[in-house]
Amino acid sequence: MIRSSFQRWLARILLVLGIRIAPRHATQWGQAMLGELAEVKGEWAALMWGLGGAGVLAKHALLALILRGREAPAFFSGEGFFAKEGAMRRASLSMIGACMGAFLLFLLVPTFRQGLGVSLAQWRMTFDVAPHSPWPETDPAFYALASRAEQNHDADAMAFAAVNIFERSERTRLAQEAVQLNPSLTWIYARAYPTPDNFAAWIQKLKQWDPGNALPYFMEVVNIDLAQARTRKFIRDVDQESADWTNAMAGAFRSSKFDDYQQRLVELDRKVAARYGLADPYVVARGIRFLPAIPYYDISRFGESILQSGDNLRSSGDLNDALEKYWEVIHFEDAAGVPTPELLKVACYRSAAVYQTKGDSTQVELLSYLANNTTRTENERTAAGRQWLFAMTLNHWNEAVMKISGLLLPVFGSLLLVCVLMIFARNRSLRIGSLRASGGTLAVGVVSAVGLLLSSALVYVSYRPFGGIVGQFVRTGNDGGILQFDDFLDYAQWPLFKPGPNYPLHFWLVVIGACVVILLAIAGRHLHHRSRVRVQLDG
Amino acid sequence: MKIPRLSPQTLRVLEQFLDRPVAWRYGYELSQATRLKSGTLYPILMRLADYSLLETKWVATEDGVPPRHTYRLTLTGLETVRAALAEQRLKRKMRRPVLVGEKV
Repeated sequence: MIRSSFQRWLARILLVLGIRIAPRHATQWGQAMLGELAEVKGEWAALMWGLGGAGVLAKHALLALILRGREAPAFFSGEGFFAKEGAMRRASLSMIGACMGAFLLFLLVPTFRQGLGVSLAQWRMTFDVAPHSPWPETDPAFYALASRAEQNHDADAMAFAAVNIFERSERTRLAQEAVQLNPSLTWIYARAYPTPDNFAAWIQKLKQWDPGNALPYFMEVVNIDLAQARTRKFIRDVDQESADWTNAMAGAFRSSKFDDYQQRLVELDRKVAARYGLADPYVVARGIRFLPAIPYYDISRFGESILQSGDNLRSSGDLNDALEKYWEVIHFEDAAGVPTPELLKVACYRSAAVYQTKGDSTQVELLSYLANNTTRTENERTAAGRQWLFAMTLNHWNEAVMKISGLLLPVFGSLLLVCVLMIFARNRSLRIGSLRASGGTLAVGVVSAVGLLLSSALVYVSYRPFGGIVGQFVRTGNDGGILQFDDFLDYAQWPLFKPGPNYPLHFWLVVIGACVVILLAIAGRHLHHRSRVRVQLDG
Repeated sequence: MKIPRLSPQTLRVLEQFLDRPVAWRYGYELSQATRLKSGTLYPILMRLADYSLLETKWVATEDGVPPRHTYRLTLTGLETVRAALAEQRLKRKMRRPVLVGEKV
C-alpha cells in the first residue's frame, strides 16, 4: 500500500506548504483542512482534499500579495522585501543576489549563450548596424574567417567564406582562389554565385569537372530567366525562347544525374566549423540553407514540348520515335529526382498507351506501376509539407517568446545596473552591510532582477529545442531541422514591430506585460505598506 | 445585519447547519453531507465566520493527530440565516409559475 500512503503524504505536504504561504487570517483554516485530512476516506479522495485546500490557501496568498489592504502572507511579512528605509533588508538583497546569481549560472550554459545572441540579434537590425547587408550580424565573422584562411592558405575555409559572404566580387575572388589551391573544390562554383562576368566561365568549368550533372544547365536557365525578369520580358511559348535557353534545357534533359552538392557543402561546413571552433548559429551551416534554384516551370514547359512532339510522331504512326520522346522525359525525371511528378505521370501513361498498341503488356504494367508510385510519392511529399507547416506554427510561438525576452532582457539588465550604481553612489561605500537604499530604488531593483531572471529563463526555454541542432550538425553532419532553424534565425533578427498580423507575438506581449504589471503591483503594494508603517512610527 | 451572498452551495451548507442547529459539525462531515469539495466548502465556511454567522472551536484529538476544527451557527447566525433562507424560499416560490387551482 505504498502508493496509497504516498497520496496521503502528498496531500499533507500540499496543505503544509499552503499554510506556509497563506496570509495570517487563513492559516487556521489551513490547519483545519489538515486536521480533517486524517478523517478523509480513500487515498485519492485524500489527495483531492489536499489539492483543493492548498488551492484555497494559494489563492488567499496571491490576493494578499496583490490587493492593497489585505494582510500580507506570513512568509513575506515582517522583514519584508521593501520594508522601511534603512540598512538593505536581507530578503531584498537575497532576492536580487539570487536572481543575478541564477542569471550568471545561465551564462555558463552554452545553449543559453547561443540563445542570448540570437535573441539580441533584433537590436542590431533595429539600430541598422550594417544596412547594406541583409546579414549584418554575420558578414564581419565571415570576412575575419576569410582573412585567416588566406593567411593559412586554407582552401576549405576560403570556399566556406565564398559561399557565405554577401559581397559578390569578394565571393568570386575567394572561390577562385580556393579552387586554384584545391581543384577538387570546383563544385563550389555552383554554390558561390559569381559576378556576371565570371558566370559563363564558371558554368563551363562545372560542366567539364562534373559531366552528366544537370545542375550547371539549370543554373544557366535560371540566369536566363532572371535576365528576362529584369527586362520584364516573360516568354511562355517554348518556340520563342532563345537558343541558349533551348540548349541549356536540352543539356539538362540529357544529363544522367542531378547533384546540388548539398552533401559536399554539409561536409565542408562541418570541417571548417570544427577547425575554426565556429559555434554562432548565424555562421555555422548558413550556406546549406540556400539551395540552388531549380527551374520547375521551365522543366514543365520543356518536358511538355517533348511530350507534344512525341504525340505528333504517334499520330503520324511513328510509334518507336514517339516512345523515344516519352522515354526522354521519363529518364530525365528519374535522373533529376522527379522534380515535376505530373510530367512524369503523363509521360508514363502515354508511353504505356503506345506499348498497349504494340501489345507489350510487361512494359504497360511497369509504366503503370511507375505512374502509381509517383502519385504515392507525391502524396507523401504533401503530407510532409503539412507536417512542416504545423512545425512552423509551433516554431512561431517559440520565436515570439524569444523575441520579447530578447527585448526585455537588456531593459531589465540596464534597470538593475542603474539601481545598483545608484545605491553605491548614494552610500559611497562598497560594504554591503552598510548600504542603504530608498524604497523606490529597492523596488525597481527587485522587479528588474526578477524580470532579468524570467527573461533569461524564457530565452533558454524557447531556444532549447534549437540549441542542439548546430552542435549535432557539426558533430554528426545530421542537418535535420536546419531549415526550421533557419526560419527561426531569420525571424529572430528582424525588428520586433513589423507590418502585418503577428498573433503569437501579440499574445506573448500581453502575457509578459501582465506579468510586469503584477510585479509592479506587488512592489507598489509593499511600498504603500512601508509608508504606512513609517507614518505610524512617526506618529 | 449584512450577510454574504447566498450561492446555491452556501445554501446547501446553511441547510446542513439548520438541520441540527446546536451540534458542532466537522468540515469533512459537512463536505460529505453537501457533496462539496474542500476547495469550495472552506471558502464558504471562512466567509460565514468572517460575518460572525459561524462560531468555530478546536477539538483536541489523540496524540500525533492534528486537532480538529468544528463549526456551528451563532445565535445571530441562526436568526439571520433562518430569515434569509425564508426570504430565498419565498423568492423561489414567487418566480415559480402558479398552477391552475393552486393556493398562492
